Amino acid sequence: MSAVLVHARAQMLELVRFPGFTVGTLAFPSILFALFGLPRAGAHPEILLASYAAFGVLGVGFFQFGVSGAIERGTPWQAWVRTLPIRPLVRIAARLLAALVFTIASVAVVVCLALSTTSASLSTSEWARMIAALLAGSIPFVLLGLAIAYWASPKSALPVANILYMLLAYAGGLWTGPGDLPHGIAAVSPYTPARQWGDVLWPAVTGAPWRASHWLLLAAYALAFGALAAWGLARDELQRFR
Amino acid sequence: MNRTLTSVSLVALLGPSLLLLAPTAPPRVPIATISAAPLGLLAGVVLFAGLARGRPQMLLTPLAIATALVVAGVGISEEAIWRAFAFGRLAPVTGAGAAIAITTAAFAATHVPAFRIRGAAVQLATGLVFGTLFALTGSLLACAVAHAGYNVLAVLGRRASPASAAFSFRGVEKRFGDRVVLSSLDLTADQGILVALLGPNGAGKTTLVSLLLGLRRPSAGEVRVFDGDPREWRTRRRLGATPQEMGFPPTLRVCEVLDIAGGRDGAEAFGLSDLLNRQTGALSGGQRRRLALAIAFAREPDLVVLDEPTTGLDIEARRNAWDAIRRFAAGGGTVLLTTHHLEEAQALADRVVVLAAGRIVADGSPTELETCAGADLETAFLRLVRA
Repeated sequence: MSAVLVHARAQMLELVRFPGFTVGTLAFPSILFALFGLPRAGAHPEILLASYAAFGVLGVGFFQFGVSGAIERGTPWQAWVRTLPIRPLVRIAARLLAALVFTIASVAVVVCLALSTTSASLSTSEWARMIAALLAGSIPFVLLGLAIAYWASPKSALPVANILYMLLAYAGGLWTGPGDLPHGIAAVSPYTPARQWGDVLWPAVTGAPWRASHWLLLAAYALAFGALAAWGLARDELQRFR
Repeated sequence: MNRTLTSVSLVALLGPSLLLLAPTAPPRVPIATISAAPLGLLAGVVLFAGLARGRPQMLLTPLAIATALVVAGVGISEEAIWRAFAFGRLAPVTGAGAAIAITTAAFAATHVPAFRIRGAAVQLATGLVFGTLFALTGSLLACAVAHAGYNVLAVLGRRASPASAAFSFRGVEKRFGDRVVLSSLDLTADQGILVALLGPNGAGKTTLVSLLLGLRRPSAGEVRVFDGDPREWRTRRRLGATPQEMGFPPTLRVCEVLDIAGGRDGAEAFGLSDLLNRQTGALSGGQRRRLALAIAFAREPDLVVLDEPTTGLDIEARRNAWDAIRRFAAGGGTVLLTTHHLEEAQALADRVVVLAAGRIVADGSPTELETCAGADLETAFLRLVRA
C-alpha cells in the first residue's frame, strides 16, 4: 500500500510541476465554461455543470493517461522503474490514484465556478447519480487515453490528444448542451462517445431515468477503446520488453 | 503469521494421535511394523534425493531441527488424514487405484496456494509415492514415516541453499528478429564478488544487463538471479540497478527519486545530502550520475547492476563511487558493472568478463587476463575483441 502512495505521489508531483498539464486539466474547463457555458446557462444550468465536469474528467483521461503516458513510455526512467521489486499492479494503482486526485481537483474547480455563477443546484441523489455517471462514463475515455499513449509517438501525442479532446467534447455537446449544436454536427452527435456520456449525465442531474441504450453504447465504446489500448500495449511490450 | 504458526503446530501435535485413531481400510493386509518403518524411511530418503536439485547441504541449527520436527508431525498428520480417513471412505466406493489418485490430487491441491504450480507438481509426485507405498504395503505407518522423513530432509536441505550463485546465465541466447545479439552465453557469479563486464560498443552488454534486470526475456536458455526469475518482482527484492542514460523525470526532486528507489539513506555516501531538494533537471551531469548510483543501493540490495557507473565523474567523485562500491562488495554484496575504463576494471573487479559480438571471449581475474595475454590489460582487451 505504501508503495502505491509513494508512486502516486511522485506521479502527481511530476505532473503538477509541469505547467502545461496543470493549466490544461485544471484551468481549461473553467475557461471554456466561462466562454461557452455561461451564456447558455439559462434554463438548465445543471446540464452545463455536468457537461463541464465531464469535460474536466476527459482532460485528465487524455492528458494524464494519453500524453504523459506517451512521453514516459520509452524513457530510460520507466525502464528503471520496471526493475524495482514492485508488482505491476502497484504502478497501475498509483496511476489511477493520481488520476483520481486530478479528476477531483479539476471537477471541483468547474463545479464551484458553475455553482457560484449560475442558479444551478442539485439534490443529494442528483449529486450521487452524477458522480456515478462521471466515474463510470470516464472508463472509455481513460482507455482511449491509454490507446493514445501506446499508439502515438511522444511528439505527436499532444496534438493528437488536443484535437480528439476538443473534437469529441464539442461534437458530444459537452460545451453547449445537446440542443445547441449546428445542424450537421447535431446529426452525427448522437453516435459519438462523449455524447453517450452526456446522455447518462444529463438525466442524472435533471432527475430523468437512465436509458439502457446509452450505457450499452458507452460499454461498447469502452470495449473498442480497451481493445485498441490492449493492442497498443502488446505491441509496445513486444518491441521494448521482449 | 501467528495464526499460521498455531495451526501448523496443532496439526503437528495431532499427527501421531491421528495415526492411532485412523479408521484404515488398507488395500491389503499391512506388513509388520518392524519392516514398515525402515521401508518408509528409505522411501522418504530416496524421494528427497530424487527431487533435490543440485547437492543440498544439511543445515543443523537448533531452529532448523525444531522446524524439521514440526514438519515431521505435519507429514504424519497429512498421511493419516489423506491415506487413512479419506482413503478409508473412498476405497470401498472407487477402488484402491482411484482412491490413491483422488487423494493425491486433492492433497496436492491443498498445497497450491502455498507453493504455487511448481510446488504442486512436487506435491503430486510425493503424494503419488506415498499413496503407492500404502497400496503396496497396506501400512499407514510406512507412508507416515516416509512422509515425515521426506519433510525433515526437505526442511534441513532447503535451508542450506542460499549459498547459491548471485546470478547465472545458462545457455542464453538473445535474438531480435534475425539479429543474434547474445549467443550460447554461460556466466555464473558467486555471491560477494565484483564482476566487470567489458566490451566494445554493440557487443551486447546492454542486452545482457536488461536480461539480468528482468526487462527482457532470453530467446533461449535461462537467466537466474538468486535462483529466481528476474522477471518476477519478488526476485528483484535483492536487486538494485542504475537507470541507463541517467534519465530522471526532470521535475522530480532528488529526495523524491530516492523515495521511489526505496530510501534516502544512501544520499550521503554519494554526496547528495545538499542536493535533496534540487529538481533532477537542474543537476549537473556528474550529480545525475551520483544519483543514478545512489538509487541502485537505496534498497540495501544483495546484487547491484551498474551500467557505466563512473562515466562523466570527476576524479574525486569517481574515487568516492569506487569506495562505495568496494564497501558494498566487502559487506558481502555482489556487483556487476559495465565499463569502458580498463583501469576501473583493474581497480575494482575480482573478475573481468570480456564480451565481443555477443560472446564471452575472456573470463578471469584482471591479473589472469594480463598474464594470459603477456601484456597489460588494455593490450589484452584489444587483442581479444579484434580476434
